[in-house]
Amino acid sequence: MKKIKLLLVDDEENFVNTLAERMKMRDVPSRVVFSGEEALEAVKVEAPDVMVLDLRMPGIDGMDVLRKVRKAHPHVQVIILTGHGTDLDEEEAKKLGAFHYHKKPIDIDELLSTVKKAYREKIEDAMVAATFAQAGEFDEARKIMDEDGK
Amino acid sequence: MGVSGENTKQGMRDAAFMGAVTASITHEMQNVLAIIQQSAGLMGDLLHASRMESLKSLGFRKGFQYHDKFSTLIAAIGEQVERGSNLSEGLNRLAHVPDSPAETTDLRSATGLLFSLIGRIARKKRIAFVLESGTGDRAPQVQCPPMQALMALYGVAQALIEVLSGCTVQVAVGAAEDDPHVDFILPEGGAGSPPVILPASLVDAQGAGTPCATSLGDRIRLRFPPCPAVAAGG
Repeated sequence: MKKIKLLLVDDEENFVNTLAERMKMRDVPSRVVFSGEEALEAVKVEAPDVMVLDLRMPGIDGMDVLRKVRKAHPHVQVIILTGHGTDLDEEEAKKLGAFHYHKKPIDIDELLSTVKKAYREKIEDAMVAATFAQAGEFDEARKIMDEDGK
Repeated sequence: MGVSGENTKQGMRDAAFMGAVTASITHEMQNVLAIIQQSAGLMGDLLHASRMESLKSLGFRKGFQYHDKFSTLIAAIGEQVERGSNLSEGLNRLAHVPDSPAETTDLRSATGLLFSLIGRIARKKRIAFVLESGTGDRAPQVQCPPMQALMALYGVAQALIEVLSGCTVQVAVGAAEDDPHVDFILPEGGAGSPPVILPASLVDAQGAGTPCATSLGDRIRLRFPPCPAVAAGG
């Protein structure tokens, strides 16, 4: 499998640095940022395949980041990982297109499995779109790629 | 509005305040637990990596002397994180109860929540409350605000903890004859030995929607009489 471009976003520096180290030990290196602002900047510089995003952060909070990322970069899969989530947050995140919603604390292998699933889904969508594009059905291809962002 | 009405409103405001503060703290607790969990997890990963290196070196590089002890300790941290997380989640659900505008309560869910929170108090007297699994039917919804339902359930559980020790109390949620109730099935000897003293507020309770406890020999039944309009299907 190609290396997954993973972005971890959390203002709890201890948590996110440790998580990144453990992901790296499982052959999934990542970039780490500590705020919503940094996350948006990082996505602008290089869009990741998958983003693991905390919800409550100072400044731009996770829900805003999710909204903006899904709008501007619909192919970035966003996984919410929060200690502050409520059922309403979960509902809203899913409405905004979050791939999955996890609550902290979480087992690393469970999170890794979700990251891989999110990546696989992104690749599958891209392959289906490419097949349509090769067949000259550009509208269908565009539709598949756009559906991610809705 | 009378003095009693104003007191009730103030009480609700107090409960809502306590709930909001507690809920916010429980969220923060989850963050703390997550850091402990990942740090312990990283220690476990490093320990594993070190053992693998030692094995690969065919014994030239000595393994960590306390590997097994550390593995056990890391597993213990993991178990405690899970325990803390469950408690924190239960406390969070409890804290959100006062801000629920609901006038009805899911009886099975409320009973489960209560036992997850009072487990430690009960364990001190070696009592286990075991909630019987449902039959797959829809859980009874009772015409009673969640806070009142929880307080009634707590009242009965507390009365049992006072007099019992070293036993299991089966708890069954039912809705026989359209009368939603929770049965606390007593161990051998029934309610008379030793006598369970139920809170007066539950024994003397009257009226639709007010929880009411009765001793039935082998069990304590906490009933939640439906409001007349609901009972009539209105």
